[in-house]
Amino acid sequence: MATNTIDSSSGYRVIGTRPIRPDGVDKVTGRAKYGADYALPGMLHGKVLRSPHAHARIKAIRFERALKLPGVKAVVTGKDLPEGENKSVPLGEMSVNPRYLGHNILARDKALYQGHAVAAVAAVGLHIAEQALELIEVEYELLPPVMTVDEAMANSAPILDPELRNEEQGDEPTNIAKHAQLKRGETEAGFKSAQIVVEREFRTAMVHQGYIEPHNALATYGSDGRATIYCSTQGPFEVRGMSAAVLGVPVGSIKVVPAEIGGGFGGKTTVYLEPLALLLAMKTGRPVKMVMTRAEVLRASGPTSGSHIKVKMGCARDGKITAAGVWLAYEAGAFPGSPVAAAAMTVLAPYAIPNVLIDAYDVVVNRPKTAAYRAPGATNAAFAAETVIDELAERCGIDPLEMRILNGAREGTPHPAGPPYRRIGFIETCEAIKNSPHYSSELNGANRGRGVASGFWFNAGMQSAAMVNIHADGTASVVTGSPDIGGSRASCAMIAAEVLGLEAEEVRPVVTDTDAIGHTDVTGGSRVTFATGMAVFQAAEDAMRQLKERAAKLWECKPEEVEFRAGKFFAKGNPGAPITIKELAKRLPRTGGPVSGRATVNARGVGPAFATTCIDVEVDLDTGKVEILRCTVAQDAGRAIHPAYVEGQMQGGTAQGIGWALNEEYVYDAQGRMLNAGLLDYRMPTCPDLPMIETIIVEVPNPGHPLGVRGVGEVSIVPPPAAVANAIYRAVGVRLTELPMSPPRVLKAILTHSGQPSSVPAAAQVS
Amino acid sequence: MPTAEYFAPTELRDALRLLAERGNQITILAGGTDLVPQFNCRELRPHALLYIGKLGLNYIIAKNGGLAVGSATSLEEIATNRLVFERAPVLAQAAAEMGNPTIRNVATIGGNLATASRAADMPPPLLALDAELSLVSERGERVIPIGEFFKRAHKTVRLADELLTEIRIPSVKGQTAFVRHGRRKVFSCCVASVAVRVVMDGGKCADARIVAGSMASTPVRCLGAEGILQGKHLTSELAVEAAAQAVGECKPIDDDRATAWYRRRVIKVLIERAINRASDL
Repeated sequence: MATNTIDSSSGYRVIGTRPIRPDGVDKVTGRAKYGADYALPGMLHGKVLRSPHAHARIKAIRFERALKLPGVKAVVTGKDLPEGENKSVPLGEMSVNPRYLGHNILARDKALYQGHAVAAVAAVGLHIAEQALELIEVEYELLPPVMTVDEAMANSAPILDPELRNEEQGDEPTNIAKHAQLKRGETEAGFKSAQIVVEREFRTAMVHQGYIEPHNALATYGSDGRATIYCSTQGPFEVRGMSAAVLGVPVGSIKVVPAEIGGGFGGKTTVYLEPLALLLAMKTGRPVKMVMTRAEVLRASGPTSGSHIKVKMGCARDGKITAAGVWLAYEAGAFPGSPVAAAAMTVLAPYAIPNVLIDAYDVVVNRPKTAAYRAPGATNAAFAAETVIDELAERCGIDPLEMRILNGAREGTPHPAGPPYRRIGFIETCEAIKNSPHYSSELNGANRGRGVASGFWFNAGMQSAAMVNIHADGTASVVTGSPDIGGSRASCAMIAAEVLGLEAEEVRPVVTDTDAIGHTDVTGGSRVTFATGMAVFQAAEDAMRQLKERAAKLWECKPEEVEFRAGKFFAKGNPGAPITIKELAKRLPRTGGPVSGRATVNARGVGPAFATTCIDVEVDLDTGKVEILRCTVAQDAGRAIHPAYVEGQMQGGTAQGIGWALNEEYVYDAQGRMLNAGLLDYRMPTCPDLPMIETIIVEVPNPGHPLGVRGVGEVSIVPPPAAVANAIYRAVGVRLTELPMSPPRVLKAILTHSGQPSSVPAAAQVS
Repeated sequence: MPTAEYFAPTELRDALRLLAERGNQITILAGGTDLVPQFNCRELRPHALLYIGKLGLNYIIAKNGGLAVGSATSLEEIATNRLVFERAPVLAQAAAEMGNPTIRNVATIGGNLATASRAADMPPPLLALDAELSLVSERGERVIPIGEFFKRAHKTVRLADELLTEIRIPSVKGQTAFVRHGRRKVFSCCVASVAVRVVMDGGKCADARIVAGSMASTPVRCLGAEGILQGKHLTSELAVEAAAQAVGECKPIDDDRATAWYRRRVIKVLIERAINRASDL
């Protein structure tokens, strides 16, 4: 099933093998401690009162009755938080506006989406806290909800934030937080020289990451002003920084202990409950624990943007693309900050196109503030662009993979938003699919079709720290600050084992708290195995250097005379026999004390990731239901440290992309109330809905990493919606331009296409 | 918030006594797959809960050539029981396709009926099988055809002092089929479902049942469509005709899971497919 197209005849001993994951036993036996498993003596339970309205002015909050309920220890509202500064400050992967962040944690004068936190309660029991919520009276003045980018951008649109301005509209209130433009060449001339031009318009629905573990936080606050937060997060240092910013307390006064994490996919890179739990702990002097329900997660965490996208692309008759124009408008949710800028920079990134004009609009709407979701922004945009490229290929009579290879970015191709690419593996992913057993197989049967699409993701570098400790028995531990959401503990242990001449099982990976390790940015941007892995590599080398010094001391020679080969230390011409790391470890106390390697990086040399996906579908012409028959994804991993977890990432991203393609969506009524805030009707695919996803790991080493690593966590989610749409077209001759491609929507498209539009209702309501 | 009282009697007479005394205040709890989420979401605040899982109502027995099924029998048992497989395969199939394993392990057939959810999976096959329901109270037992049980969504003819204790499936002839359409293969509420039974005699259809589920507020028996099949050789053309007739009888609704337009389209296809499947076309 899984094949490495470039064999790692690299001479690595541990890297590239598939040891059992170090956190596996804890997870399958229930010993792993997730956020909601934490408890402390004297702990209070916190609950959040949430707005039932999508858009409303908060005129008054009366909570005296709630406070009088026996067992209730504190009630807080937006007034209890300091007003944050209204400007962007860099924090981890993204920049954060402290005012918006604070207003999202607890609404001030306006509730901006159904589920927006309005007040929070701490009580001696969970049910008392829930009961207290019912005793809080909130006086709302209802305002018309603004649910889509089209509504929000209309001239007469109700305004969410009267203070919001953008550079183009001057002092005019607006819902458009930002308009950004990317430009290269002259698109007008480019389209003139094109022989074939395709122009299409797309819409995609808001979707959620769907991590199984709800958000949680347990906070303590001591009389010395020091706080600890236990929570499930991708970024303990971001939780620390954001909580400090929201509460106006020093960063160093907070310690964040990351719990085991039950999924994140980008959704756990910001804060919701953490500052609230701490605020309640500060008020009461007791530990406060808060856990969201599933409905709260869906209504009030950070899904990713729905969008409205227009793509115009032109090519010569031979398929060479001459120009592309892209217009992107993304729902930011209640506060500015959609991933539309990333969408603009990724949408054409796999291709060398001389003339490009991309317009990107970040638009506020009465929906939850969006958060990162696996290659944020890229999937919506690729759905549009990759569908148009498929259409161009068809018009030119070129195989869709050949079309991509013909126009594909290579080493030296300028990235639309930056310098030329170094060595990348895009073409190799296309070739891998072209040569795959899947693409070479025949697809027979009625209403079946095969589609391909590609995707790009930047990947991230940023800051990481690592320590490698040599134990008395010659085994080691690797300490990092990167919560493990995708197998990164395994890759960190394997990298250290490779350097130290140990087996993977002899290195224990530890994810520690924010006081115990140097600043480590979020587990996001596919950066952990790349950047934290780089720190681990250097820390292990540092430990190795120290070990050589100790051997030199034993043998009374110079450290540079000590060599390490095949698990043993040697020294030229030394009479003493070579010794193993285990023997050397025993002698450490008498040669200077413990050996602990350290390294910190602000990692440069990020290698972008590309994936190409091939999907076969069968469409039920009578119900519009699309069945995924077969799916293969090829992705450039640079170097697969632990191939099984690389494959896992590729399969997981693909599964999410297929869910996004076919069924997932936030369904709202006219008042802006979410109708499907549960996993029964927010329909992620289940195992029976998907075939086994076949994977091809492509290894084009990243020249910017000592081991050739590229991030692998995100890019596989990008191609599937377009690949499914292209497959549906090949199956039934209809181009779908809206996500999700749900059965009613597919059926309507088929009926309209086959000349039965009269049987389709005018109102486009689909669910 | 007052705490709910909780009763879990082990004798039927104790349960019936409680219902006779305080039936209006009591919420009957079986598997809890429908009720517990409503409790958790504060959509329902019961005064008192009567748990019926300890009353010995978990059984499947052969009776008069058919079956008697205790109302507290889990859907997983129905899906895997040999007797059900032999005598009411359409019921076993519908149970097997409902929810997911963890839900089927606790959800009960009685709960699936008494909740009177539009999306319930048990009513269409039971209507197709001419099942009867036993409603027991201190006043005695009354047995009603399942077609008379549902009044509207979430409302049945069960009186406050009555308990649904048994589902009786008579010995019926014919071949059956159940087809459901959900948005996922598993763990998905029905957008539409159909149970069909056709009795063939000398190559002609002697009797038929066509029941549509998840369309309107109660399951719909499509009598007009059944009439079209009656006395005829079954062909796929006839199935199309019957399905078209059935669509007019269904009166589908708009809800969060599908529009009436989509339901009308889908139910027609499902009925065609179910007739074809039942008659091996």
